[in-house]
Amino acid sequence: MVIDLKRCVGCHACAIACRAEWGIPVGYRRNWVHRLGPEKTPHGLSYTFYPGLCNHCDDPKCVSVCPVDPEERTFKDPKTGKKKTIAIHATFKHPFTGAVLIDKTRCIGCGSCVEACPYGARYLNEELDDPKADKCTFCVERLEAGEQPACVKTCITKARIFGDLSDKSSQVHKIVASGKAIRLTSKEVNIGPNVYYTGLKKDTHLLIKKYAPHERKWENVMAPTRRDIILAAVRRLKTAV
Amino acid sequence: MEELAENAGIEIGHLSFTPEELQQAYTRLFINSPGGIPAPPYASVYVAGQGLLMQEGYGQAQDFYQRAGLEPLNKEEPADFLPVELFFVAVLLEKKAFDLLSEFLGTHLLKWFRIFEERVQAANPHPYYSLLARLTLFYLTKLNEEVFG
Amino acid sequence: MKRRRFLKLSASACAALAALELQGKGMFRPAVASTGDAQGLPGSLGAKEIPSVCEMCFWRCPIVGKVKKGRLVKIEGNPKSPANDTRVCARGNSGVQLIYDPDRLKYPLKRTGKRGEGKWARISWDEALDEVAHNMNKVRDKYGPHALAYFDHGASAEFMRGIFKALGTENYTNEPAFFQCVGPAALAFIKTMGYITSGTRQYVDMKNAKAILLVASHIGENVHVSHVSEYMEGLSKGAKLVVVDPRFSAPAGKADIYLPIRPGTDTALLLAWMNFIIEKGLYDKDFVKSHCTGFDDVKAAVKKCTIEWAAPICDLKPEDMKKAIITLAEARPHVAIHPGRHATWYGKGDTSRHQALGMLAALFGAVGVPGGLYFPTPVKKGHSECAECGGEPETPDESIQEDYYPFASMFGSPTSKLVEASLTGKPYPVKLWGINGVNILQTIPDPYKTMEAINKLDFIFCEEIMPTETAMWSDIVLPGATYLERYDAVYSYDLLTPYITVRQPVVKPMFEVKSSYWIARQLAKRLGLECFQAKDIREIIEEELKPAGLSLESLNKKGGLVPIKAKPYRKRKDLKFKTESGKINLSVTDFEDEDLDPIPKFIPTPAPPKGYARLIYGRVPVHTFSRTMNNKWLHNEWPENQLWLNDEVAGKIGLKDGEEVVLENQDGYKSLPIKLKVTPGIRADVVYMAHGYGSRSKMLTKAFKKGASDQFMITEYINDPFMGASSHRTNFVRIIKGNKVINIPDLCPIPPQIPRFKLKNAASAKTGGKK
Repeated sequence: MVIDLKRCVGCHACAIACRAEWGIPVGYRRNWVHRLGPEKTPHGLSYTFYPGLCNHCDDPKCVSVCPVDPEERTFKDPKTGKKKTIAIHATFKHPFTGAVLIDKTRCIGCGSCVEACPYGARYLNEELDDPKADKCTFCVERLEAGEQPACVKTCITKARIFGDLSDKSSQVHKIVASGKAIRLTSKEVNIGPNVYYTGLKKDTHLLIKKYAPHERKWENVMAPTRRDIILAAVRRLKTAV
Repeated sequence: MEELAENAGIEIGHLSFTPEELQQAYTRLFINSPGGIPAPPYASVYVAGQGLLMQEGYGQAQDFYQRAGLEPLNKEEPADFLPVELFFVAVLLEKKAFDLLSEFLGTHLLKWFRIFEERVQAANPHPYYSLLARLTLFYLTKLNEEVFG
Repeated sequence: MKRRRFLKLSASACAALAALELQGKGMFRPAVASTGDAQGLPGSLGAKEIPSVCEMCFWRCPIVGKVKKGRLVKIEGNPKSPANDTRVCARGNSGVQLIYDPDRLKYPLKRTGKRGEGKWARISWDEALDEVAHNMNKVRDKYGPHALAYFDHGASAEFMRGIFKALGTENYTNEPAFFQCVGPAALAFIKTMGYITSGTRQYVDMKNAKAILLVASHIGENVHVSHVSEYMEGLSKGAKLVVVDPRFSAPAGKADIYLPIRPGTDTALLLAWMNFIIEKGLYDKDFVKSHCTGFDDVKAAVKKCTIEWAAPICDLKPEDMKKAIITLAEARPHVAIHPGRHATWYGKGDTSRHQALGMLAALFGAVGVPGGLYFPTPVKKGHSECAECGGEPETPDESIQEDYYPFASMFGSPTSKLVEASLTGKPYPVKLWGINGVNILQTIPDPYKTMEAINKLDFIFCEEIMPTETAMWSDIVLPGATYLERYDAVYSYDLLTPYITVRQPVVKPMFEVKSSYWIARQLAKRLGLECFQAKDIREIIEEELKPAGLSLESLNKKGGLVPIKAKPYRKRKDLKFKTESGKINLSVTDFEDEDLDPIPKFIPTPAPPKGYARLIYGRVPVHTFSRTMNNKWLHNEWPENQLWLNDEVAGKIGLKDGEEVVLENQDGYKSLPIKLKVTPGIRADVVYMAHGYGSRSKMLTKAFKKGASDQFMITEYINDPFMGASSHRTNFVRIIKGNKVINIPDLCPIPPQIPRFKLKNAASAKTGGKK
């Protein structure tokens, strides 16, 4: 996804459309809009916005900390129909589309992935009987039905551009290939986020300054102990009865 | 009411009130109050912390009624309105549908009613509604234990 | 207890408990086979789409409601709409939260405590309507018809207005839309260009402009979807943006040129710009010659208004002012001079300021051409007599509409005069208020006065959707259906992408809420009025659709909306204006006839007294005034407002970003606590907060603990002498931290032309703290 800060006016429609589409209760969120400035930058006074969501990273650290034992799963390439079988934890990166997804039937709700994400993109709804991790899915269910992601569909200034990075004719590819788009990375955190931002120099400068993450959060995630895993399993059993 | 309280072993003393008092109290607790009603009497508000009407909790209630082959008569209030759910318990008891009843109580009504009752008590309620909520919780809990047991 | 006995007891207990609520008539019946819709697809997929029209604000974007099993699951834009297609803003998306808010009004209520306490008891519709009708008759019989006043805004208010009119009161409308918002702008353009260039809509073509001028229009922080998207299309096509605003607003962040103007001096800037382009010949001489009157008078009037004269007044650099006007002039005639919308700033000079904007557009020839001001496209729409109540109220000998402001009657009764009449009985007693869609405390300046006035009324009622302050102060509360639950009129959109559509119910009304047509009709019946004959509002809608060659059915077959070919521009030779002269009146003789300035003059608005800063306010994109403050989704996006404070000022008085302070205004009123947003993006003589937050009511602040109300700081106001709209930016504040009063340092020197505001109570100036 590419978000054009020149076009974004900070209306928050995307944040609400996502909440409405997926019924996310207030107190949790899959995406967000932060407001930055007015603040001085080397390129002028900036007043801009950070529409944020899961970055579906190239090297998703959330996947690497998932303690659930891997299972084999077969995936199909939606474009070519080619099949591939890989072993995945409860959260995984789709081998063809690149979307980072959660298998709610296998997630044990330990919260490790929530702690691991340097962008804070995941959450655990503790108020549920059987809490599971949750986050943006790039509206993969809607995409399968030929629909756009909810945030893209509602954006009143068409600031959100969504598409197939590997498709050379796509708009997202052209923007990224031009080198004009930035990613929220830093020296410390550089895991290949796939949400890019373009905009006036002063605005992308301020965005990076405020929101490029520096903490390697996944290194602090304690591997859940045997006790945690058992407790989570018991919790699931209890509610199933 | 007195008989119910007695059987529950709850001391109520002398309850006196006017219809106007109750009208006002009921409105403040359950219909409208500036800053929000303390205890909306609908499952949907409490289930999964969604805080809105017509959400998952409502869907759950509808499913239970469907399974019993029933639908609510009142079209003004949503199906998960407390009196409707309580009446459903009575209907299931009459039909002796104990399995469905235990599921209804255990996975749905009792769970949200507990939070609802807390909210009522925390709202400085009129003694009549404080007692009513407490009694209802008592009987539902007892019922659940008996039927489940 | 034996199980059997317990179960028996429990059954009766439960039934008894339930019966206590609904007379135990039996609450169920055998289920009807469900119409298997929604195949259990996730999110909003597979939902039924029902077209309708949004009313979370007043732009009225076409929408579709996504409904699964009778439940509204999502709202999106109507893909058939050429204005917004599938796009709706944050508020539009939150309509689901509005309709399913457990705190929404459900049943008619009557007040049981004091006015303002918010204690209610549920009553029946019959009782409620009887009570309202009875009191309307009583007040009319006792004081005469003009004692009835109607405060109206939005679609729900349309039908009931007819009732007040039919009862004979001259006070049948006083839309805050005009008297607290767009009035001065509407008046200015009607008199100069002969049409309402700015009113409910702003007919300015930013999409095709080569340059755009925004004078304190903070597009992006205010959101009207098609307006914002057209602005963005213009920018993305390379339009140059000039923003004039004391605060670095959202559009300032995208501007090519930003002018941080001293508040109250915009007219001086506009006059200086006019002087500049006339002197340098940077205006459209042909257009002025053939399509404008009064040019010579204007030329003479602005002769002394040079950029050098205006610069110290506006606190701007001459070279920046020149750069800006040259940028605009180079783009002519495709330069979008935004006519403004919310115009009720300083009282005196408000109408003139918008007249000056119109004059600038005219001098550039930027009217009736792509990129300039354009004309509404007429949309064929019928008018049903059934929707009318008849009655043309007589003007009383002493008239609130006519006697105070020469042009007020074009828009209704000036609100401030209504409040005064309710308080003082002059020019005649106003004893009953009917309110529909207005939050009277957060809308009208000096809410303390409003509260006093309400307490003097014989009767006050409202039609509302949420338990707002209006409801708290009403004797009877009538619960209206939300826009998602009712039919309203046919809506036409006559801007760059015209269409015709209808508001339709997306779901059935919940609880006992009723459509505004039903309420008006029931009330009219009880009052013995012969109106709203159509039993079903659909009859009215069908009549209105007929001239467009449509019916509800045919409209819905086309997806609920039919686009219409736009006719916004005119060829120069065909260009005619609906003024007496047939041309644009650069100098307005109608104003002169009333002893008002025919050509704008710079009228200074007093600068802040020493130690104070001017309080200004604006919108946030997630709220519509205070209407949406209860909406959990929207509230969650922006839970509190903050006070923008200049960073240099903050440094000098030792305050930091995020610190909580209280404000005290020039009349000694204090605000609720508010957090500071320390930023270089605002002038040192100004503080800013978003409107609608921080209700004064103790009860409402339980839910919304954070944030202050600008409205409750607006206790000083002047009325615009043209039409009586009230000023909203003529109040000044200083800061209280802990118990200490902190004066705002004087960092912006004031030129001799601008006097300082004189504090009424000399004592309050003395209670200063550390500098």
